[in-house]
Amino acid sequence: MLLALDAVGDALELNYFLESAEALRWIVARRFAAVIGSAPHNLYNEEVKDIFERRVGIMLGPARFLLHTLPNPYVFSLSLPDLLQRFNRGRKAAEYGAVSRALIDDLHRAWAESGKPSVCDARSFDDAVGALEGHLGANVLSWDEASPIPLDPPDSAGSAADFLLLAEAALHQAADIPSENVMGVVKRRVRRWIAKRRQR
Amino acid sequence: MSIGLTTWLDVAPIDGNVLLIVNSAPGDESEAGRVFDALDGCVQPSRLYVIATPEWLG
Repeated sequence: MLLALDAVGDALELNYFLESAEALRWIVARRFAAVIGSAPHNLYNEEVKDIFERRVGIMLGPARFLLHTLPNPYVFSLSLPDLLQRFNRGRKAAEYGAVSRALIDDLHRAWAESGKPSVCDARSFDDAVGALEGHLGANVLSWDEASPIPLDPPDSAGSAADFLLLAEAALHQAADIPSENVMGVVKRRVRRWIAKRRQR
Repeated sequence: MSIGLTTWLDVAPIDGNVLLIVNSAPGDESEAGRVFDALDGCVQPSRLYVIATPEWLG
């Protein structure tokens, strides 16, 4: 067990501790096959725990990141490339929102220009095809709703660069700062804790 | 271990060390306890490691 403590034994915020030299050295030495957080993720994978997941990304390497949904039985098992894709989710959502708003604007304009009919039961939607193709791409019209959604993902270079800067800073810190003091404090605290538990 | 959406039945057994980071709200023992229970069938106790804030020591 490793406690989130600083060099003098005071508690540190967990995410801050996870990018510290002490935590990274301890983690790297144990070559984990899987990493998991105790807090559950959203059942439909709509939520990204951004700060925590970036810290996991720094340490994950070839391991799997398990995102559990307990008490539900589902687990999302992610590799580092999967995690890097998640870091771009905010940009994806913003871009999709902008495209959707522009599409609705065009469809609304077409409806207004056609005299704002109160009902439109026509089986054909030819008047909307141009707008759909223009904003979402032609492949969307032939999509079978089972295969991956044929939308071009936004460029992920920006979010990848942000993550690399975080990882670089953490690794540079790990290379420069001695950890003997912190590990000594941690060991003493854990020994004290174990001794207290035995006395109960 | 497969990638993507799976269940605990498919996760087990995990061959290697497992790191559990206790990032639940301090004191939410039921949430952390559920994960320990789920991992119980997936990883050998000697291969389970934990990172937590000192509040969890009680």
